[in-house]
Parts: sequence; C-alpha cells; structure tokens
Amino acid sequence: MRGSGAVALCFALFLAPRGALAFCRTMTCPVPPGFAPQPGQCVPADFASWCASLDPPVSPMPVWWRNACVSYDLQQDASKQVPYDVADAMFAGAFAKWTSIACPGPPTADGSSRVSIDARDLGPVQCDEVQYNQDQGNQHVIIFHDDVWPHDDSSNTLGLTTITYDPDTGEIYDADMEINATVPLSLGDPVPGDGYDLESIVTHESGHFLGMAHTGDGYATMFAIYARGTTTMRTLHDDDRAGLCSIYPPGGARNVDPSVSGGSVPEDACDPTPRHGFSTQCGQPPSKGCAVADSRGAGADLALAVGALTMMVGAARRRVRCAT
Amino acid sequence: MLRGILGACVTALAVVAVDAHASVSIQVSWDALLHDSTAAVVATPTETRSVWENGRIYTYAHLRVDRAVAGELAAGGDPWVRTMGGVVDKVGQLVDGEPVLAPGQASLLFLHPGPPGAFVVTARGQGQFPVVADADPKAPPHLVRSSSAGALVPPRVPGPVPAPPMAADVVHGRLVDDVARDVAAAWDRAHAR
Repeated sequence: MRGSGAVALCFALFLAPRGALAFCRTMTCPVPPGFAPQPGQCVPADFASWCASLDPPVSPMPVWWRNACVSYDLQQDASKQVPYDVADAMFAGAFAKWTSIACPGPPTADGSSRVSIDARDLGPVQCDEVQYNQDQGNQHVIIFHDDVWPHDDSSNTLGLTTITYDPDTGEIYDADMEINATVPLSLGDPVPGDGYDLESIVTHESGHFLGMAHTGDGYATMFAIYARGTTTMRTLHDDDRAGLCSIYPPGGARNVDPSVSGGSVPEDACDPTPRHGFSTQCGQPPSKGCAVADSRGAGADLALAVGALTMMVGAARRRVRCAT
Repeated sequence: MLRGILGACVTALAVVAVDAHASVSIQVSWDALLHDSTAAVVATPTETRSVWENGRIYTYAHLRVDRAVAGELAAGGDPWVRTMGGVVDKVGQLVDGEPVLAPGQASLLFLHPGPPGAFVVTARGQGQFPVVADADPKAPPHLVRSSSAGALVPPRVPGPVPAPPMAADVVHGRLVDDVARDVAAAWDRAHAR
C-alpha cells in the first residue's frame, strides 16, 4: 500500500503542472544562448548534440558535491558596505536555509529527512582572488569587490559564482562567489523600493554554489529575474527545496548523470577540506611559464602549453616574456 | 521497497530537470550597450581554445565577422574574443552569465577591447544576441536575447524619469537587418556622450 502510494506520488510529480517542477540543475554544458528555458524544459531537445558540437565536445551532466560537507570562506576584509561579522552571519543564514531543507518521503534509518549536504564556514581567508589550484591548497572564497569589479562589466553584475568541476562526472571541485560592492547594496529591512537586497542575492548565489541553476518558477529563490526592492528571494520555495532534494536526498546519495555509477554516487563522510587541502592564501603562480603582459602593464600568466594560442591571439599590443 | 521507488522517482526527476546558468546582473540599457562598445558585428565563431590564466579558465573564440554593423571591426575580420570558463583537459569551469560562443553559431555581438589582442563581449551575456532562423525557411533570420545572461534585475532609475529602453527589449525578436540599421543610426550619438 505504501509502495503504491509512492508510485502515485511519483506519477503525480511528473504529471503536475509544469510550473510545479520547474527547478533546473547546473550542467557541465552551457545551454544554447538562443534557447529560452521554460518551466519544465531546462534544455532543448537536441541538447546532447549541441554539447557534442562544442570545442571540445562536452557531455552534459548535472554538477554535484561529493562530500557530505562543503566549506566556504569569507575573504577577511569583507566590504566597506558589509562588515565581516554581518556578512558572515548572512552567508551562514543563507547556507542554512538550503542545508536544512526537509525532503518529502520517509526518513532515513537514522530518522533524518534533511538533505544530505552541509556547509561549514572555515573562517576568514586572505585570498582575494577566484582561482582553482590543481597542485596547491584551495579555499571556496566569497569575495566582496568594493573598489573595482575585476571583470569587464563593472556596472552590471551584482553576484557571480564560479564552479570548477570534473567534466567526466559533473563532480564539483571548487566554487567561489563574488559580490559586486561597487554598487549600493541594501542590508536588513526595510529594503528601499529601488534597493538591491543583499540577502536575496546571497541566498540565490548560495543555491548556485550547491549546484542549482535558474528555474522557471517565478516564486522561487532560483528564479532568473529579481525584482528590485523585494525580499522574496530570501525565502526558499517548494521548487527550490525539490531541486536540492533531487541532488542530495536524505541518506547520502548524490543523484548524478546515469552514465556515472548508474546515476547514484554515495557521499563521502563529512570533511569540508577543499580539494588539495585548505589554504587561507591564494595559490602561487607556476614557477615556470610564460607571462603575457600588455602595453599598459597588466599581465596574465599563461602556461607554456598554450604558447601557440597566445601567438594566434595576436601580438599587436603585448610583449611576451618567459620565466626561466 | 518504498524507499527504492521514491529513490528512482527522485533520480528520474533529477535527470529530467536540468540546467541553465546563473548570476545576478543589472539589465543593460540600449544606450549603455552601444556606448560601452567599440564594435558591433554579426559574427560566427570558427574555433575556440580554453586556457588557464591565474587560476581561472578562459576561453578564446576566434570569430569570422559576417557583417560589420558599427565600430572598429570590418567584415571579413577575424578577432579573438575572450570569455570566462571552459574546459581544459580534465577540469571544467562554469562562470555564470558569460556569453556562449559556440563554433558555427552566429550572433550579433557588442564588443570592446579586453585582454591584449582580444575583445570581450560588453555586459557579458547581455551583449550577445544569437541569430535564429525563422520557422519559415523563406523568412530572414531574427535575433533573440541570450539565455546565458543569468538572473537580471532592472536598473535603478533616478527620480520620476521613465526607464530607458533595455537592450534586450530593443533587439529581441527583430530581424537582423532592422537591428543593424538601428545600431548604425544610434552609434554616433551614443559615442558622442
């Protein structure tokens, strides 16, 4: 009887109005930019062939954290607008909203119905750059940029999450978050009618950090349009909860692409240490390699292996020097 | 038994429910997009290369300029455009809101100089408008807003003045020729500010 009830529930979920199951998971392959996701349809029908046409070809897989615990670290300077303690409490609260989600269905053997992912704050770090080090310690850093937004869209982006992953499985190796504090952010209540509510942005970006993508459900925290002056994204909606439960169900499995271990991978025991160890410092650049610098003095390191590319990119405004 | 059924259900849902990208950005206005760009082109990526730079992965796309709409790039040109994210060997990186430049897929792109020898797309994914064929094969292609632009919020508008037109609202759903004409007509005015 209970089994038939579960089957009925499953069918009900599939047959429910599309908006009721609009959540999407972040994938290892970008959605074609000309495709507009709809509730119930996150990717186009020919998504696999689109991904295969990319250079290099990509296998579309949802991303996921393997460990039962993931860490995050606030950059020690936080922001002129948002003191460290305030920011720390805000991120702790945002992650707690996600990691305290109770999933439907019977509890596990230990009586838990909570999602099987936890977030741990490893404390302030000095590193103020988004990076993933393949041979040094890492940190899942959260950075406020107060004076200069380091990307090419200083007046547009408010929050940005970068996820590094294994393209063969979708396992997340690293995640970092940047908040653009060069624009005024609203803290606390009430939020001005034209304000950008930081808690809403932080809660939304935390969902991305855990592997959630945008949803077609306009009430959800993961909806792709934020209405200025509102706080609705602070509160998780059923669609958000269903999404995270689908990735990290109670009991510790990770629902992954069917080509990976049949679609389910057991969690690793709680250890929030980032991949290759935890470091409060940014990684050091490789000791050998080429650096490409422009005539303005700004530089960017490139590995020797991509020297051919730098030649193609054009040398009109740059000089190349190689370390010994 | 019960847990198995529910587990299968959740797994199925997890596989059915997939992607899109993400970041939170302020919508770019039409005037700002023109003003902040040095070139507007309809271009098609011919190849892409991803590299590590300072602990991040960047992808360089080599474009073929199919049509110079306005600004510094000429038809037939072959600029490189850098975007954040990509795949190098066994490591991939996703950066929300970046434009997606895939070989063979034409877009109207608003560009400005980026790293040495390369351009970047102005306002990231908001400066890319994919060229989409019409359902009627005889009809000319049109432009759509990019789904890779991430989460968007309207800009602040000081005082009671009406909000300026947003770039996506000006371009989305219109014919390439019509938008190109509008860009060319507004280009000098936008750059005179």
